[in-house]
Amino acid sequence: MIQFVARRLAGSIIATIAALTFVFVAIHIAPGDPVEAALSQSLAPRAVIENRRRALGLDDPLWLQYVHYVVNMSQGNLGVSWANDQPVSLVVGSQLASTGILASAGALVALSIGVGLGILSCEGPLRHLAQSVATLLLTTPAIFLGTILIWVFADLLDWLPATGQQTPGHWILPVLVVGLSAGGAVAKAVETGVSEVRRQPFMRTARAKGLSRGQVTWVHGLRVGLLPAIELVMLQFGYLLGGTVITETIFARQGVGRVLVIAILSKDLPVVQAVVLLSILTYSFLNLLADVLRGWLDPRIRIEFP
Amino acid sequence: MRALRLVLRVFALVVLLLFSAIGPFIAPYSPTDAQPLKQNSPPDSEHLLGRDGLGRDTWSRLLWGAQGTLGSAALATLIATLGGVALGSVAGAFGGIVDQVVVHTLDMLLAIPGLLLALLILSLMGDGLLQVSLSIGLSLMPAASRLVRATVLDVRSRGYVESAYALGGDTWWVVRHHILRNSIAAITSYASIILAWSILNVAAFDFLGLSGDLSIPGWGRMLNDARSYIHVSPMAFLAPGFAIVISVLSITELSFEWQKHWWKLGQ
Repeated sequence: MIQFVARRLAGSIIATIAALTFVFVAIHIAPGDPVEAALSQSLAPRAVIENRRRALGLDDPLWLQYVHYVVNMSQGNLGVSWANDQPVSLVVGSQLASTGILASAGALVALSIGVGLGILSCEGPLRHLAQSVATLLLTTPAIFLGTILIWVFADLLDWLPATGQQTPGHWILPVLVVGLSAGGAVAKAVETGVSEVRRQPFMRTARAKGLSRGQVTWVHGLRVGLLPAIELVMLQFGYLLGGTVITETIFARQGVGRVLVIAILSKDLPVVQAVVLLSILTYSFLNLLADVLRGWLDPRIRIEFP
Repeated sequence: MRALRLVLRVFALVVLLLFSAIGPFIAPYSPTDAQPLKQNSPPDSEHLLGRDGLGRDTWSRLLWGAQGTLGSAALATLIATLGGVALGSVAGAFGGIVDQVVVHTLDMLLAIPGLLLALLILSLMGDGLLQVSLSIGLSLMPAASRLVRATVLDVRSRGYVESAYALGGDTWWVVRHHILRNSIAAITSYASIILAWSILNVAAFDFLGLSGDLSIPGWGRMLNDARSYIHVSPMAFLAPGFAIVISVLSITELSFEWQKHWWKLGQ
């Protein structure tokens, strides 16, 4: 197991470095000067822009900039935002809690609603209803779902606030939007997982041993059938982070998603790099966690990686 | 019952295709004609879906928006699918070092969340509807390539492909005549799912105000515009919202039907 984890870890580190290099190259070959983009609103004179370019090291050759970039990153130094001179760790770090809670709470909602709907979709009287709800969740865009929820709960019923983030009540609708829009995919994964497991020979063996149909489905079937759902939620956490970009915009919240959109539009390279790094690290970590969980839930996988 | 659902979905898809083809010609009013005195007027016999917050006819904007939203999504799908077929078939058919390089590059790109990747590509090209299609298409290409590669590997291991190689067919000839031809059913079904995804993404980017040109109303922008007048004219956001849902729903469901059908054929 340790060897397996170590190998996966090495793979994640290489993937992270490669992705960061990709981001660096992509942003530097793009047309348009980031400093000019950042300063264009301020109508700064030519000389100021030139000085700023030199101060930020943008006049250095590309390879030297890349070396500086790698050295800084490896020391945990994320640099300074080009837009407002604040340290990137502060710009992104101050938003981390808000978005982290939103995405995690959303993932929990997605998992509980998804697993519930997925189980109901497998058998029983509510099968068709549950399937339809899951399909509807899968096909409704977050932008529409969010607007409907605001319309119904904030406008017509006046139960919850529509925008902002001061009170606990402000969390309910955004978390629901993130969770519901990811829940449909989870439900489909559980449904597919459980119905595929049902055809496996070990299910027949369990029945032959004398377990009831229900016991076989829920104890053996669900345990393995949950795997794709867990994997989906883990691997799609990035998708959830993407969902927070939309959700934060709809509900006018602060957060990493908003920071990222603004940084991309103003070509604030250090901030973009930091958010990409963050999301890749999260992805790699969750990927690893998903593998371990998979081994725990499905004994067949444990044997492959002793 | 199932036949009826199928017919309804095909009907919805045909209507949507028709709207995006001739929408601008059958729209009764201009999509940008603002009537300040008639803001948010409810639906009536002349304005089927009422007017939005600037007094523009919602039905006409919906018809125009079909072209913007579905057109860009179709373009994005084309880019993702063609790119995916090119990369996936090269990696799958040649194998070895070529396959390793392609797969590792794709995995690296897949580690960046799709929407983030699309936003990143978009930021390098500037905003606009064409750029939105390009960035979404490129961001979906890694996933498409992996799917195509998996299918190509599956087809390649079949007996008739092996015998084609054994008979001395060169790699490209076998790829074109046997492998791709027998992967078409699978690729069509991926493409339809990618199309559904693209519609959702195009609408989201349009909603975020990244699609530039204000003269073509997209469904995402209509939704965003209507949010400020949510309490007075809900129809202005319900119409584009349901248009997106119906498009994505009919495409997804038809794709599932197609998949089932194709699997039955395979067995």
